[in-house]
Amino acid sequence: MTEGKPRIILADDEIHIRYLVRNIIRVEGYLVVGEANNGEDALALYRQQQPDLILMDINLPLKTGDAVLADIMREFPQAKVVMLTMVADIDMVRRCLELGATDYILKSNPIEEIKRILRRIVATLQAKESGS
Amino acid sequence: MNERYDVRQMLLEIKNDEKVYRSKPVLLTQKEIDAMREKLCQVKKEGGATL
Repeated sequence: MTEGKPRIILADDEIHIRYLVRNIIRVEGYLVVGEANNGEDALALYRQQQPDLILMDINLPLKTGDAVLADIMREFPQAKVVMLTMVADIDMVRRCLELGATDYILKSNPIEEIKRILRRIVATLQAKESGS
Repeated sequence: MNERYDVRQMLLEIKNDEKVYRSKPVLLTQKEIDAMREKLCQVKKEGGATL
């Protein structure tokens, strides 16, 4: 973290979603340290930046978000990966949570709900940081 | 009459419709996802492996 602000990567192929989420993150006072528009770049960016958190879509070109999640968790077992997606299918939710996703947020949520979930995740991160 | 109401055909169509219906994905709400996540956390804490 930088001065208590979590460093976050965004991975989504839809530019307007990245724009929206980037603004939410900045308004909340967190730092966006990188953005990717496909799964392979997301993984490379994660390795390079090793952020506090990555917010990642599932339907990404080149490599799907759940496959990137699996790779990240294998290489960085303590990683905090949050899926931000339209996919509400029970099998995919279960797969991602079992692979180690920290949380699973539906894009169909109202913005305030997305903010609330993000605050909860960041509060947990900050509590762990101050406790370590 | 038989051409308009072919029972075999109708039964086959019902069976196919049922297949499509049954293979429909189960979609969760955010609340259900949160509950699933919390349940998994609990299972992990208790030493279990999966949901």
